[in-house]
Order: sequence, then structure tokens, then C-alpha cells
Amino acid sequence: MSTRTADRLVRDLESICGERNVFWREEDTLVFEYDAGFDRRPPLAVAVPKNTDEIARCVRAARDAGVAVVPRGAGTGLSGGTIACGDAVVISTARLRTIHEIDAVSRVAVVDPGVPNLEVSAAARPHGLFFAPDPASQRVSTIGGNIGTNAGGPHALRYGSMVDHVLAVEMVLPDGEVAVFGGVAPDLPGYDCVPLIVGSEGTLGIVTKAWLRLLPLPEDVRTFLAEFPDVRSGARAASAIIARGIVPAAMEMLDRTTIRAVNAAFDVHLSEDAGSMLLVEVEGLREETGSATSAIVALCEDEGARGVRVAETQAERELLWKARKLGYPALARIKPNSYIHDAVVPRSKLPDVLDSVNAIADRYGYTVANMFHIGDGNLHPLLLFDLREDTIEGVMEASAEILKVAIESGGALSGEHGIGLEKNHFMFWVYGPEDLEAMQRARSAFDPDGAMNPGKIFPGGDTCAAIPTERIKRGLAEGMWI
Amino acid sequence: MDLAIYQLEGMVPSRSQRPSDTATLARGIGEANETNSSIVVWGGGTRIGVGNAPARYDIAIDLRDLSGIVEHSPADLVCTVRGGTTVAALAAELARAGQRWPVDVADPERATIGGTIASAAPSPSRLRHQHVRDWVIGCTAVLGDGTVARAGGRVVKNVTGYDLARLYSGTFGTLAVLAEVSLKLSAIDEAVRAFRVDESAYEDLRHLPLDSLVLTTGHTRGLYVRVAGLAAAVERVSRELARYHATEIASVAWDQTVHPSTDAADLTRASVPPWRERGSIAQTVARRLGHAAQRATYHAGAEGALRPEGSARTGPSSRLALER
Ligand SMILES: Cc1cc2nc3c(=O)[nH]c(=O)nc-3n(C[C@H](O)[C@H](O)[C@H](O)COP(=O)(O)OP(=O)(O)OC[C@H]3O[C@@H](n4cnc5c(N)ncnc54)[C@H](O)[C@@H]3O)c2cc1C
Repeated sequence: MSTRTADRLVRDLESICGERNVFWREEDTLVFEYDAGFDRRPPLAVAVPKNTDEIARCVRAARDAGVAVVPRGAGTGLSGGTIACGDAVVISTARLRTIHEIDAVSRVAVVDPGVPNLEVSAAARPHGLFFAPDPASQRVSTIGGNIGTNAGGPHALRYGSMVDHVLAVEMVLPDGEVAVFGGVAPDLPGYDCVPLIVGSEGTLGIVTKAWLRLLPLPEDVRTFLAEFPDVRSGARAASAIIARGIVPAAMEMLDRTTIRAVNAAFDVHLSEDAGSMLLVEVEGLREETGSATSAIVALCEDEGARGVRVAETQAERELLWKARKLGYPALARIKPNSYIHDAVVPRSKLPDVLDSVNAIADRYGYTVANMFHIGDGNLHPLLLFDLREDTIEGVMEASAEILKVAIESGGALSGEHGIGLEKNHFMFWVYGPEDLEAMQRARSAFDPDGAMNPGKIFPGGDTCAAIPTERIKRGLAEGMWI
Repeated sequence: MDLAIYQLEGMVPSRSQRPSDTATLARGIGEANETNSSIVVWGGGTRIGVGNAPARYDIAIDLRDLSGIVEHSPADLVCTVRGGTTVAALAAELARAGQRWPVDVADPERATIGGTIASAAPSPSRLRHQHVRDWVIGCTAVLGDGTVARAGGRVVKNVTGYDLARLYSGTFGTLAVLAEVSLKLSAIDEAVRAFRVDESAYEDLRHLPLDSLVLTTGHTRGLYVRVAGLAAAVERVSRELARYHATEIASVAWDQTVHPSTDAADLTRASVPPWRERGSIAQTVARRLGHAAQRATYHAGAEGALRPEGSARTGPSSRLALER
């Protein structure tokens, strides 16, 4: 692109958003180069519009200049979804932060895309309601980003991921038009594109408003930790609980590495010699929580649980969850760098898959921490390393092997973090050309020019080729064809 | 072959197909595409009349032989079935493992899984289980040109590409034919009880954990609720319902009341935001539908859907949005 085109576009964006809200100097765009994953790439410019109309005008300006657009929320994504490939312009929703309405009768929240996830539940609570999706990043990650990635979180086990909780969205389309999809009333005439938009990782448009489902707060909540001698017995217990048809509100596994890291960071005093723990939460009517708790405890004991610690107070419950949700920073104390994957496997396969994952990490010589949503089979193996000593190639190779194990067990590449630019070339492992073509047709219906977040989700393209890891990743995806 | 059974609003197709495997289905659709013939896909036909009459109608594709359970993995709480499997056949198979697909339809012996998903069938228990699409985790679909394309998978949580399986729900066979679907399952409830309660209870009931709440007008006029789950919990909620002059009704009576008609041709569905006050629903409907609202069924809660019966079509779509 010529510098003249770029300069003109920056001036256009400045006239739409105001000079203070457009960044283009290298030092200013630096923080927009990356998300919480590994790759980075400077955008051409960053615009921070204040409302839907400004977003639409920014999108039109970029389109007229022939420049691609990347929607960005808080940038906590883990799959490179917000990284600007091919000199794209980033449009940030940081200034759209209003909660417009909490409709306690129809149980709906109407919010801006830049509202952090946790604020929705906070606003709903006085009405006896809550917003179910609870990604561990919920203090910062935004509703727009949660929609982009179809975010989950521990309680997605019982309540489902974002897609189950988004009733309608207002979206700026790639041509700058504004459209509303779905509705508070269900099954409106015509196609309901909401489930297509949720999880589309910013490739169909920029969500500028969302109508979210709120749920009544449960009558009773019980939280407990079951302690196992090793990972396998904990995994067997989790499989057995699901096989019994019991679906807790949340069920998380913490392995020994995680337990020790969490102990070092928080005052939780988890038993250091446990090989794994299941953090389980059940919600509902008192009768239900009581019955589920005893059934789960019995199944855990059958699989060799050594003890069960019940959170007796609200403070203790919060402490356990804090340890879980801030587990990643705790693990960062072990090694400065980490790489996390997000594959999902059938729940009956958990014990074997976890054995394989740990064997792969061992073989490559990495410390691995497993702290994850075991109830829905959503793995989060975290490989810990130090880039000053280790190469990224090795980490990526081990990660690809883990992905392969998951896919071979009948699983999927991602449960909640999305494909982004991190896993797009691995899509061939799961889908054939016809399957991808069907998705491409859906995309083209919205974005025939491919100007919205190019280089993401779909494999094969070159838009992100300038990113160093792209070459390694392609090699791995093609070399380990299954 | 009696093509009259595929008659729709006076239109009779010139051909029909009844494939029993995905490849044959795909070939048929591919050929139809090449000859520029238009297709109407049939499951059990319980909701075939919903929506506009087809503009053209050359071929009926009957999916009832594309049936059977491909895989049921009880330990994973998931299964994969062919699109033409009836809801009743699936329920019978799943029940052997104490499991179910929590979607209630009016006529399970006739309704197929594919048609139930494709038509986003209203289910009174959406109050508790939400939309039918939320119980679909993957599919093998045949597109309009005969391409066979999979989406989603067999795991319960998945962001691996676009969620086309959920998108197809509610598209009434206009985007794709569901040849095979993977479903998320739940355990069969230990207890299920249904009641007719005093209509004045409506606003209060919002705060109870109900499985279904249905408001009807016309000759079955009344407020009906169902409670399901653990026996002890159902017992307590039932006791609370006694305050509203609840009288228990049998499950057969429940089915007849909440699924007023499977002949969708004379049924207008109107969607309204859930849990709006009873009065305002009635008023809005009366305003928009006039006499058509004489007999209406309102499925309350998380997915409010109002279904006045006996109305003529109300315009381009028989589903009418009262309000976003
Ligand atoms: C410590 C930590 C813990 C995490 N835990 C979880 C977890 O438990 N569960 C989970 O699901 N994720 C988790 N994540 C990942 C991340 O927080 C989620 O993916 C989150 O949804 C991203 O939100 P964001 O606002 O940061 O979006 P971004 O990273 O800014 O964007 C994510 C994607 O959404 C798109 N997007 C953003 N805004 C919009 C919009 N308005 N319209 C359209 N597309 C848009 C972007 O283009 C991008 O593709 C975690 C991340 C970290 C760092």
C-alpha cells in the first residue's frame, strides 16, 4: 500500500473519531500488536470510535482505501484473533462501554461490545439474575470479544458457552451498513444469524450492541474440592460423573504443577502431595445440590479420591475460584513463557488423552500444567518454557502433537479460544475442503471481499505470512496430516 | 407413487425421492440443481406448512428412510443420528441408557429430528432447556448444489470454525438438508408433574424453577405448568404450586393442551419477548391478530412463543414478530 493511501486513511479516521482517538505512530500502536497469545504484528493504524455510527464510518473509510479491518476488544484472546495481518486497521471497542438496560422481566441485558464480561453479572445481581458465561479473563475481556470467540468458562459446563446466551446483536457489516440479527423474541421470521456470528472471530463484522440472556441466581450453590493421588484417577472420576448423567455447574481439574503454583501464589493451602484435584460446583435447588454432591463425592471415592474439602463459607468458595481463575499468573512464576492449547475431547476419553498429553510434554522436556474445564472435555495443557533457552519451534511442535492426539480421539481444535491465526492451518485436520467451502460461503455472504479480519479461521491464505511462526505452523499442519 | 401425499397449498410435485443414505440424497440434490428443479424437503410433515408456500415445487425429497442412530455414546452424553429418525425412535433408544434429547414436540411418532431442528420446533420446555439448536453440536448437511459438508463435531464445546449446525436450525430446509446430526443429551428426569394453576399466579410463577409454562386461550383456556427434575425438588415446587390452586393433570392431557395442533397450516406463530405480563401479551396479540387470537397458546419463559390457532395467514410469513 502506498504511504499516501495510508496517510489519507489515517486523516479520514481522525476526522471521524477525533485525533486523540486514532493511533498510527509506532510507539502508539505497539500495545495493539499482540493479544494474550504468541504472535505479534503492527497494525497500519488503530481507531477508537465512540459509537456505532463512528464504527460504521471507520469501516467505510477503510473499505474505500482498500484496507482490511480487525475488530478488537480487550485483546485477551489467545489465538491471535486480533492481530492485524496484511497492514490492516484495528478498530477498538474500548469506548463503547455502556450497559443500556437490564430488563428484569424478560431477563435480558442490553450492552455495548466494550463492556467487560463481569460487569454484566454485577449489574444483573441486584435483580436476582446473573450472566452465565464466565471466562477466567472476565474482569477485562469484553462482551464483543466473548461473542467473537464464543467464550466459555468453567460454568459453560452447565449453562453452555456464549452462543447459548446471546439473543441478538447489532453489527456493522463489512460494507459499513448496520444490521440487527436475532431478537429478544425467539424465532423471528427469516434466518437467525446469531449462532453464525457468535464464534466468527470478527470475520463477519463488528458487533456494536448485544442483547444477552440473564438467568435467575440459583437457590443453592455448593463448591468442593476432591483430591486424587494422580491425574488418571481424577480424570476417571470426571468421566464417571458425566457417564452417570450428572452435569455439575462447573468441574475443573488442577494437576500437581498447578496446585503447587497456586499454593505459592495464594493462601489456599491445597494439599501439596495430591496428584490432581477436581474443583466441582453444583447449583440449583437445595435438594438437587445435596443429591448431586453426595453422588459426585461417592463417584470420586470410587475412583480413589483421598479426601473432599467443602467450601463452608462464601469467602472460602471465592478463594477456591480465585485460585482457579488466577491460576495462569500463578503458573507464570515457574517459567516466564507459556503456551496453551484448547482442544476438546470426548469425555469418556479423558484419562487416556491426559496420559498422552503428559507423555508428549515429557518427551519434549517441558513442564506441563493442566488446569482446565474437564467436565466438558476442554483441555488446557499449558507448556511452560523460557524463550531465552528454549525455541518456539519445539513448543509449537509439542503443541501440534497434543492437538493431534485430541483430534484422533474424536475431538475438536478449540473449545473456547477460537482458531484465529494460531490454528487456522490445522483446520484441515478436522474438516475436508467441502466443509471449509461451506463455511467460506457463509463468510462470503457477509464479506465477499474478505476485508474483515483476513487471515483468520480459514487455512491456506497468505495474509499473515509475514508473521514468523506462520511458516513453522504450516509445516507442522502439513507434515502431520491425519 | 402417489405424489399427492406431498401436496402443499394445492401444489403437487412432479417427482419424489426417498433416499436412505447421504450419498444418494446428495446425488439427488445435485441433479435437481443441474436441472434447475426446486425441492421441498420432507421429514414427518408436522411443520411442513409453516412459512410461505414454495414459489416453485418440482421434487419432494422424503427423508424418512434416512433414519437410524449412527452412534450413541452414553458416557459422553452425546449421540449422532440420521436426519429422518423420528423423535420417538430416538427417545426409545436413549431411554435405555436413562438419557434423552430434551426437546418436546407435538407429535414425536411423526416428527423427525432433522425437521425438528430445521424448523426450530417450539418446545414448551424451552423455558428450562432453551432453544433446540442449543442441543445440536454438529451435522452433516447437503447444500443446494449437492455438496456434502460437515460442521461442528461430537464434543459438547466447540469453536472450530463457523457453527453452521446451529445456523441451519430455523432455516426450514432452505440452506441445507440435515442428513446427520450430533446431539447433546441429558439424563431423564427422576420426576415430572404437570398442573393447571390459577391464572392470577402468572407473575409469581416467574420466580419458580419450572420446566414449562403454557398459557392458552380458547376452549382449553388456562395456565399450565410442568415441573421436572429430582423427585424431592419436584415435590417441593409442587407444594409451592398448591398456593395457586394447582390441580394435577395427567401427561396425556398436558400434551393435548400444550401442543394444540400439529396441522401447522392454520397456525400462526408470533414471537414475543419472554415473561411479558399476561395482560400485555393478550393485548398485543389482540391488536395484531384480531379474532385470530381467540385461541392462542403462549409458551412462556426463556423462549416466549405465542401460537394463535385457526388464523388465516397473516402476510408473507406465518410467523409474526410482535416485537424485537
Ligand atoms: C488469563 C486468561 C484467561 C482466559 N480464560 C478464558 C476462559 O476461561 N474462557 C474463554 O473462553 N477464554 C478465556 N481466555 C481467552 C480470552 O479472554 C477470550 O477469548 C475473550 O473472549 C476475548 O475477549 P477480548 O475482549 O479480549 O477480545 P479480543 O482478544 O480483543 O478479540 C477476540 C476475538 O474477537 C473479535 N472481536 C472482538 N471484539 C469484537 C466485536 N465487537 N465484534 C466482532 N468481533 C470482535 C476479535 O477480532 C478477535 O477475533 C482467557 C485469556 C486469558 C489471558
